[in-house]
Amino acid sequence: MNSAFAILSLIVAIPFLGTFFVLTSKDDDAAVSGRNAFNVCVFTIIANIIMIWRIFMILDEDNHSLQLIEKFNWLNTPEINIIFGVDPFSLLLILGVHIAVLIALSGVKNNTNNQKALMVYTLLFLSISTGFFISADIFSFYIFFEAMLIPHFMIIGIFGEVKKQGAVSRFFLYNFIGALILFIATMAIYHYYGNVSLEKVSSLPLKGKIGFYVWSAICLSFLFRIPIWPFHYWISSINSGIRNPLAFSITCLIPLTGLYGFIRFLPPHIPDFIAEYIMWGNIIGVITMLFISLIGFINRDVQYKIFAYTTVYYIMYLLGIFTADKAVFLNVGFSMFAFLIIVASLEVLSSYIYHKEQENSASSQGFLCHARRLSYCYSFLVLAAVGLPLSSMFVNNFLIVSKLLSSNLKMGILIIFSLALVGVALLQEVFRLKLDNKECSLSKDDDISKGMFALMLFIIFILLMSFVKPLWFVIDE
Amino acid sequence: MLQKWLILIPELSMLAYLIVAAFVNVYREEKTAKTFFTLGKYFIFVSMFFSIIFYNKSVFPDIWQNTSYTVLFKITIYLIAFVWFYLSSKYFLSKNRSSYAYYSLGMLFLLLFSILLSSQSLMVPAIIIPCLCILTWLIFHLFLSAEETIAASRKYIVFAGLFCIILWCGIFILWKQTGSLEYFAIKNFLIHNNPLSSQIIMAIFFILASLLFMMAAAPFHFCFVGIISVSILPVAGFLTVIPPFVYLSCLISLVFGVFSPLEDILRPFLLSFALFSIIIGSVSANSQKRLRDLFAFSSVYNLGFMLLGLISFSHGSISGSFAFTVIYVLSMLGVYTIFLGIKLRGDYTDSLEELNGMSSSKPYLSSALLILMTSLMGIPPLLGFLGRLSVFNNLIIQDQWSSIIILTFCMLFMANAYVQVIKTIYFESPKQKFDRTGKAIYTCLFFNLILVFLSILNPGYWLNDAEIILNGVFG
Repeated sequence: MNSAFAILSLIVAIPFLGTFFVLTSKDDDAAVSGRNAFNVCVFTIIANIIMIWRIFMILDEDNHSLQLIEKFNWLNTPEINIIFGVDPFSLLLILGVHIAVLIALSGVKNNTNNQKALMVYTLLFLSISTGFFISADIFSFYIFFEAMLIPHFMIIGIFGEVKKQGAVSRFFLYNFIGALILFIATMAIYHYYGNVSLEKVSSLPLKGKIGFYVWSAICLSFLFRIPIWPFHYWISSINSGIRNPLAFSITCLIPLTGLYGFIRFLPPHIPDFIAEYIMWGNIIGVITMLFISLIGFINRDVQYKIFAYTTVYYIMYLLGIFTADKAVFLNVGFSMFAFLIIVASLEVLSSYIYHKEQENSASSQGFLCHARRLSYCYSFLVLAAVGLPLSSMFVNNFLIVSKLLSSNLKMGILIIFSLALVGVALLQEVFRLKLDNKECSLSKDDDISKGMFALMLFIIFILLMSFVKPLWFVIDE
Repeated sequence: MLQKWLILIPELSMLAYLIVAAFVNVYREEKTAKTFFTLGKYFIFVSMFFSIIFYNKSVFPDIWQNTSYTVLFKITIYLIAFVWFYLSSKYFLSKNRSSYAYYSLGMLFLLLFSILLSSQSLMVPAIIIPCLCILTWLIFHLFLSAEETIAASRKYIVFAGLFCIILWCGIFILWKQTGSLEYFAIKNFLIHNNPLSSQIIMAIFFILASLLFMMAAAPFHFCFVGIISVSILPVAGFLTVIPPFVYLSCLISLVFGVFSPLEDILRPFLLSFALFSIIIGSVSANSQKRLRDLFAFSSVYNLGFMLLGLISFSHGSISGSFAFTVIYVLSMLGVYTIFLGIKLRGDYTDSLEELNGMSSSKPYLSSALLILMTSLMGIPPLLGFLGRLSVFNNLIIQDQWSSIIILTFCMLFMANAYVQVIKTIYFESPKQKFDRTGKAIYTCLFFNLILVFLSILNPGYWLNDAEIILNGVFG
């Protein structure tokens, strides 16, 4: 299905135009300027969400090939056309990313540190990430894959409050080298087959030495984005230190790009020369999962617990993708939609608790006993996160894990153990916050605002509905 | 007769400027940098206009011929020179220094560049290149600001002299062997006399080595870096932005228009210089404490890319190299414009230590620098990506996988140098309060960035036409 109206380009353009509106807001008063920038950002994201919803309605849900194709002639030598297209899977991820960012934005509403710049980079990130998910050819895919680095780097560097500046550089360089490797692989594919559509890239007859190098380069470049050993270092050193919920949520989306790359590029029948590496990837993935879940369990910092949780789940999705089963891919998509929303919401609430602790110089132990609204929301989100039947994660994770168990029982057991461990790590935190503490100086007044509570209730509603039917919001025309 | 004079108007206009400027300098009492710039811009526009009108007319077609290819380069150079002269006038106004010598030498540069670009005989470079060396030395020497600059100036003139002798030797040997200095005759000789004697090959290497010295390719980069590091901003900017563009065009004319029968010998020659420049540029840039030094090495690095673009000896390789050069010129022009906007207590500064947290007081200049550095890194969707794309495409066509690996590592090194700058400007806490930046700087930067954005949205609209014109070099 080709698009008569460039609706896909529009969802890339809207956040990009939003950056111009933010940039042109007056600088006279930092507070007013920051508030204006925030409002423009929220408005832009909501506008884009409506557009995405509209696209869902014109999309054929049962057709899993790329639809609404848009093609632009970009360059003649070498001949490159930029092609956009979506399927329900990629559109669901775009929606998930938008909602996650919108939730995370609520956590930085009162931020006074360079709010305008934060909004600019956030919108730029959204524009590029949307472009990434709607790319329908290898070149546009690569362009957005690498372009995402700059807003990421700037958000982490300026707003991440990362103590070790060296870690920020390393983050950039690790990702940059991954992108360069993908660039070489893309150029090699282009040299032999031209600008291949993303749907056909997994079935390319790349064989022999060239096939080996190209597939290795592709796998390596995506692995650079996923915190799997030995590529885990940059993300753990960055993520565990970020206190800004928006910066944290955006950083948490980096592995998603690597996973998406695997889903698009991994051949349905994995060639022998990759199969061996996939096996090693599985082993390393499981070890990383166990290792990080153990650290998350032991560590008392909630930030690290959330980081451990996201890492373990991302690796589980990766291992699910390695099974190269198309049905698992769809489950990964549905599960990730809820996962992104849960992580962003949890981060916003954890950040809120952390700031209350800092403001009052008090321990947050037992805080949930006094803050009712916060208690409802936090508890629900943690329970949904650990896999109770409260969101689409429940059924879909069950299917992914059962596929992993059927493919390798020992590996499946270890994965379940890791998932349980990070679940317990999060429950530990709820237990600590609910443990009655008479010395807790945080009171009812420190509870979340009604506006924030309403937003959280809306998120809970979305999650519950996704449990009933993942694409519940799609109304057939 | 009249027609011949008319064809020469672009060059005569430059000469006329020198005379008029001299009169103004002597007889006008109230003269500022703006006076000379205002005067110069009219003469530049006249040159530009008549270069377009007479794009295919020549007075001495055997030794000096205008083609659409040469005009493309000339117009680009005039436009860049116009912008840079405008920005330079701000520097001279703020410093209250006389700019007569600067503009006169600048126009003389343009005149010589114009002649060099249209050359059809080796006699022209044999005369013009030594003159350009003297001009470079003069423009640098006339604006000496410290003791260390004298040493750099001496070093430059010694090495420039040496390479001029090498150039003459090469041209002389070639003339002795082929009996002519005209490009067409030499090319015919090279085609019909295969295998060639070692003397001819040596002569060609001599000529190309001198050109590579002028372009500041490694290992001949030291003089260029030394000059850029210590000269005043207008001179450093001029020498960084304009000459590499001219010498590249000259190199393309010689390699593709004259020495192309020696493709197999020239390819490893160019490849080694290109890789060496890229390695030296990327590694050295990491240890610099001043932005200007860092960007001087970045120039050496980018020059390596321009040379690398040429090695496939195809139509696509010239347009690829041209695209990379335009990107380089635009980015460097932007970077030097930013340098003109960073002032601390009345003095221009580019020390990395002093730029800590610059983004908080100079957000627009910092953003522009971020965009330009991102473009120079080759990160899509910015303009630099196009250059990287064409260079890698050429290398893959040539099966140069080892070069690709070296290049990847060098790109990483270079990116690290840029990342350190970004970190200093954005992530460090501010220490200094910078002076106010003039509107002219912002206006020029705005147009520069608009060009960068427009070019990336639809690069075909300028690259396709440029490619057709550039292919004229094949005759």
